[in-house]
Amino acid sequence: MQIAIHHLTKTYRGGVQALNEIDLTIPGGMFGLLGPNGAGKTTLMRILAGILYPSAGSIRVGEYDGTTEKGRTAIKRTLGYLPQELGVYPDLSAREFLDYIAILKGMDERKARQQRVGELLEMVSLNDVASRKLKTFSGGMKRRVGIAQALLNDPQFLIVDEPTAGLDPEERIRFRNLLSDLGGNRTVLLSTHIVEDIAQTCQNLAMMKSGAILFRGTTGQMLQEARGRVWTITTRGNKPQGNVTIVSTVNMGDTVQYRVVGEPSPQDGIIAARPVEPGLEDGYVCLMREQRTLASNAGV
Amino acid sequence: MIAQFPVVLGVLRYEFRMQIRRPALWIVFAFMLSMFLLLNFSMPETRADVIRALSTRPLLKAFVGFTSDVNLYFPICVGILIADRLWRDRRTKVDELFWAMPAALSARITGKYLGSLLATLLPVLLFQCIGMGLFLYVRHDLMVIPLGLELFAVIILPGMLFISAFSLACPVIMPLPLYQFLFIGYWFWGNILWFHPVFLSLGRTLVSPIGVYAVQGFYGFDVTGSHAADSNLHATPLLGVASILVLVGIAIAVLFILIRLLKWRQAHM
Repeated sequence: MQIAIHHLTKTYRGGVQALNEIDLTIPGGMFGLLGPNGAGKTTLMRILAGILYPSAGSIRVGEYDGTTEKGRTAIKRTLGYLPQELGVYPDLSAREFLDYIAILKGMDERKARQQRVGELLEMVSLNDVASRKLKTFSGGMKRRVGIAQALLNDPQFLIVDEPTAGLDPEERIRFRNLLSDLGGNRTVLLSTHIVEDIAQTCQNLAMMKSGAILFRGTTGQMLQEARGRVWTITTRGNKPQGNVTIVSTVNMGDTVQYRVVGEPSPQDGIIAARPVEPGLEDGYVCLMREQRTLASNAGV
Repeated sequence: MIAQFPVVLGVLRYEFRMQIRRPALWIVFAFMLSMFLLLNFSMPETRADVIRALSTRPLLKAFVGFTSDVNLYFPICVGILIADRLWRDRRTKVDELFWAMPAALSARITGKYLGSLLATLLPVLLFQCIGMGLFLYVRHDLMVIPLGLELFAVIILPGMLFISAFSLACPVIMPLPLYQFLFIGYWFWGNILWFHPVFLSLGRTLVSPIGVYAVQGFYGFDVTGSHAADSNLHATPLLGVASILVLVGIAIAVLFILIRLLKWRQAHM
């Protein structure tokens, strides 16, 4: 299922412009949406999920027009949505909450609904605690309930907004693997500011900042943006100089090893400096630097 | 298009379940029951009055008086306990998830209204049943049961439908504690002191949720209160019917406006 977005704009009451003429085509499979806080990712997600209405522009999700009421309702029937902050009724058990959501998704046949709820609880490894109240669940467990509710209606289009934020590394890996398994025969839009989540799961991605698309392409193309611009510099403690962004700092005792993106300049105290293969995070940093330079040159 | 009636039923079931499980529901009603018993049974004179009413007063008059007393105080509990149902959806952030569902807003709101109301009315119905039990014990007359249910439906239910609709809707446009405070304040002003001519109130109109028109129009009595006879109500059975229809009609209108308001808000965020 392809999603086509043209000139999408969203201005909130009070004049805050969250999206500025976004053009984007999301093919099937896993698609990453990367960007810092305040980039407009959640706004875009909420518009696609039919929660917010755009100020201008068009959205097509498969054959449905996402700017009309009829289209939005049709999209919601094929949609699974995991919001950034998942709300639950704390006094319901996991099984009850999923049953409630299934009813809201139009699954009115009781037996089939209960069977589906059972299957999903098994899939997210919450079968043993299905009768416990949600207020006793940890953050990771609630997030798993969240993905289960998103999958109840076997959606063709799945939107997950910051799904791994706040999870420990093991939970995060489990979640990523789960998402990757789901991306096979549906469109999964994964929004995050954690680059590693996209690196591990997505082939295609877009990067946003301040309501605009900075980059759209494959993860390989994003890596290319940083090729030749990533260095490992070892010093006796003094920070690398020049037009650089320090990506990581590792204290080795007598020396400090920096990973930088940019153009480092020669300086005293450098023990070693060598170019290294870029990662996706380096590509992200590179693009953000370019955007800041462009903005600064334009006097913004 | 998904079928909406199953959504209404499903939401009703879960809202009923969540409301009935609330400790606050039973604590509030237990408090009101204690106050009711204290007012009626704590003094030997009042105890004697109650026993006399149960055993010697004409059954209809005694039971109407009992039901009117229930309807004077218990709606306060119903009003404040339903007021937080939509507010809770915002607080727990489930409303974002619900807006992404294909279920119609009207179906969700209807299910929430009916489910919360039915659960909150259960303690009131239980208390009415206690009354039925007392009358049955004293009078040994099985007609007490259908009479008790009729009085519940005619005197209590229309007002409860009316105040529940406002309690669900008003906290959408004002802070919840403010609504609860104003509701309790107005209830005492408009419904417990309704007969006093100095106080401007809807208690003397067809919109009276304590059933003054139904009580006088259908049964020929005044709602409890020694000054009730000064109300100059002159209710007839037709006015009793009109009052019920007005209360239910306004409840439906309030829910309709609530749904439109929520949709409008969502479209203009």
